[in-house]
Amino acid sequence: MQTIPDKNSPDQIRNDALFLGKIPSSPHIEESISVPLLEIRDLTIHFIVHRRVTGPNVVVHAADKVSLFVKRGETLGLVGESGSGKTTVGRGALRLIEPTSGEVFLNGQNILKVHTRKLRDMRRKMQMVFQDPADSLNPRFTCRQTLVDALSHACYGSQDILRKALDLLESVGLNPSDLDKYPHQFSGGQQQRIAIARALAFTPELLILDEPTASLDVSVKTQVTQLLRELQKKFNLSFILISHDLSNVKYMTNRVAVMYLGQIIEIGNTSDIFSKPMHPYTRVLIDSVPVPDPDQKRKRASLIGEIPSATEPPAGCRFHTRCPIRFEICDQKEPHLAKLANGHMVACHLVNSSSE
Amino acid sequence: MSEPLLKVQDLKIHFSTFYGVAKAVDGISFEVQHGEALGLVGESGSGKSVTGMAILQLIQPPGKVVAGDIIFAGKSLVDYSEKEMQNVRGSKISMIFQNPRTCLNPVLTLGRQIDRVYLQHNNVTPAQASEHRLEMLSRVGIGDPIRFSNNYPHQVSGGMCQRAMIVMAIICEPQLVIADEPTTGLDVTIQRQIMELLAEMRERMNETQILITHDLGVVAETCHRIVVMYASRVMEVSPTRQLFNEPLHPYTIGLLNSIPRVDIDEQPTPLPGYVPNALNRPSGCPFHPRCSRAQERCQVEQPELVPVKDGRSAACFFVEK
Amino acid sequence: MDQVYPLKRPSIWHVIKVFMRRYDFEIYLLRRNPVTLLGLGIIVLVTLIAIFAPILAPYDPLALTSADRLMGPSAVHWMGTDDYGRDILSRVIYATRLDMVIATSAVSMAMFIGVILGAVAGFFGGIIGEVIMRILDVIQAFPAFILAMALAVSLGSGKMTIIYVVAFIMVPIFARLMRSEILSARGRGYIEAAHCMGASEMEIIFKQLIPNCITPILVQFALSMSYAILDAAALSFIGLGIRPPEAEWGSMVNAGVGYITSGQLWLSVFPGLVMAIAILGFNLLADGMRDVLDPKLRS
Repeated sequence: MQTIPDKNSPDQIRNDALFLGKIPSSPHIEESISVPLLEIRDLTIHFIVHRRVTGPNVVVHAADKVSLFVKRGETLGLVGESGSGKTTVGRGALRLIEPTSGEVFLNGQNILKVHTRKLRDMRRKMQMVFQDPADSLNPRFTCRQTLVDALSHACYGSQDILRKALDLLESVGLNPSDLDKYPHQFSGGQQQRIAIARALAFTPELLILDEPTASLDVSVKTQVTQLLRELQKKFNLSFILISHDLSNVKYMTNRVAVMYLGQIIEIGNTSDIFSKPMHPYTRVLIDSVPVPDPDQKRKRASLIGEIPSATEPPAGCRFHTRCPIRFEICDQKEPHLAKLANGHMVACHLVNSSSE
Repeated sequence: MSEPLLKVQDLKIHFSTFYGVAKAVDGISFEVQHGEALGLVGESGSGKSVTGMAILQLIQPPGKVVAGDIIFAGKSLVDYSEKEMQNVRGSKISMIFQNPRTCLNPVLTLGRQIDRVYLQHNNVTPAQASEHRLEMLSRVGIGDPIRFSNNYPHQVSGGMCQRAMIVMAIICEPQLVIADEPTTGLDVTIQRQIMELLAEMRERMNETQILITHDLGVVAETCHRIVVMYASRVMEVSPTRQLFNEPLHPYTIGLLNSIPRVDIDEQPTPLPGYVPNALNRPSGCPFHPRCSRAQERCQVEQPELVPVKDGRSAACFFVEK
Repeated sequence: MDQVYPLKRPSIWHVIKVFMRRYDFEIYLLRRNPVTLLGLGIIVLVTLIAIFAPILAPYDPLALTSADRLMGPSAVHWMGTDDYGRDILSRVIYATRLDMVIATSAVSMAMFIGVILGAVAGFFGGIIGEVIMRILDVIQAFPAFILAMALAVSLGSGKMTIIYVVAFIMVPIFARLMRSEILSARGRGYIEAAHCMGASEMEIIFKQLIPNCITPILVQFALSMSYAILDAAALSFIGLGIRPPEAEWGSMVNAGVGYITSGQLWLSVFPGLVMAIAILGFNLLADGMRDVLDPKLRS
């Protein structure tokens, strides 16, 4: 008897993904066998900033046809300048912002098509750690209240809650005596640890880290980064790291997606991106990071101008207005993401024409 | 050696709060030579920004300079009256702030704001001022100075606001420019542009600069000499190259090892512990609770900043002379 | 490792200690600010007088003693007597009780309704928010006191009427304030975090947003108390509120007006003075509270 394949079965999804070219088929068969934990397909998010009575509305193209996937246990970096839409994609994946179109699959289930109640359940599997820990903790809740609140949402019985809260505190490196302190009594690094503990209360599968160390002190940053890596191993977590701090991204991620004006312009393994960046923007971005080594006299390609407004993105390749190596076709035709080896993909006419 | 342009001697600044006296700056000394770029590096709460404000005598109550001296071009700024200081600020010493958008007046055009500074310190007509402003703007690489001048701060990007701040700071051609985290909050590509602009201004206008920042990468690329501060005290003073190649103080070593690098594949090792609260500083050496080399002596006795070699100095008992 | 301590149910002393630690800064600010302390003192005193009116009042406020008509202030009658021979001090004390009850109930009611309306309007926005805010606009578009008079006339006089009327004209103040607070608070990180936790909208409003927006509401509460006293007295003064013989500040002032020209000032002056002091107390407290509760002062 022939069985009708379940539309949401892992195999079916993988086949779909293979068919759509989202997963590189060979030679890394073994890697691609695992179904991605999160898959985003053609996610588009537009904000209407100004409704006009006559003529078209003023629309911010915060994300345009963004496709990416996150495998279990891996870290995907999302980098770009402010205004590139990296935070929007992170929020869109959680449906904290309602996307204009596209699909977001968590474990094969489309999060954009579920109802409120189911959405709440699904969100718990994906937690977010925010940039400013002081802002992300309720100032009127003690550490205990914050954790108890989270744990009761995670459906723990009142018997287990305190014990679990202590476990969480321990796993993020805080003391039980910190339970009754208010957020303002902690330092930034400690506040971020509480925020991480709160996210872990749900035993999530995916953490979306929105600049988790940007507002922390230099000497504390690495502590928090290290903690996140330890927790990743311990709980087999997947991360999406949204950051503009490229050195941290290099240290933390397995794969990186570079965004510019709402589009992914390059995506690939971290080592590939940092050792041989293909897109001119990626190259400039990496070159621009100040390096704490005065002896290094690197050739620097500094970028002219600033990121254009996302209400009217440039025609053709969106980067052409600032690109140091643009040529005729760039302002007319939009480059598509072309596949290179190892799942490395680049959207640049120069790379595309040379590889074809 | 010639007389330094700025000399900070044993400066102490205290803030009295409900929770007690916060020693924001606790006896620091350093010098800035003519034409050099000095980096003041530290984490938040290390007292680096307060030091910058103190040089311009901008400390507001409940903060107070309780001891020490700031000597600028041979004269003590501490003795200056508010009126005399106003003549110094902007024309002899000027400051670039971290958040340009909140430091600019939202209801005045950028051009008006720049002109105000120039008119305050120079006996010129408004027409001359605006001519001078246009010239300066094109010197900092603004393509269309007239259009730029007619914009209000909210109409331009953060990078452009910072450019306007820089022009305001250098329009009177001051001898010393203090830049307090000038690139924090800007994107790396814009940060690079601003850093290049500051370096260019220093060379072309023979400025002396103090760059206050937490980013070791920024100082490595722009400064000649670096003062490392931690918990209100100076830990180490070194020329840039030596500091990065052979850091002396355990804090500097730990800090350098703890930052991930984009250029090399090396795993960072985090510094343990937290930055101490300004109200509750550890006894002895402020770094001892986090220091791997700390011994009993460090808990009791505060190490002084002593010269080591090659114009370097460090505040640690275990640095070899 | 000793993990027993936080697992115990915290003792009452522990809770008080945590509470004190939480508010030590406010207590400190209050101590540094003598004017606020004066306001607080006045209000505590007024409240105590209101609570213990039957014990404090030397005479029955309604007892007519025609022999003692219109006596000036003396050792027997500290504030004198009125045209029916009633002791003014006793009447002022009972009036305090009545006015405090009216003001507190009215403002509490306004606060309760206003906070909920404002929170809903601010959080959901859209059509619900627009409808709520426009209705409040209509209420505010009328001169408050004229509106109050019209309502009082249509509802008939009495204690409850004053409470409803004063509450009604104060709802928009609280709703507007709450809405603006919610609007600025709803973009905060902890609200987004609550969304991520799968918290429902009602939970976010009542558990996360309202407690964080309540500070300016409390200041407004103190400020509104003085207006409520003034409005209640004014309504009674023009005869739409509390009717004689019941003692109320406004109606007492009104009753004494006819005697001012003949030099028998005490009939109006004493109730008026006590009312002014009570209003001053609330205003001073509200002003000080703003400083004490302003989180910007904490840095």
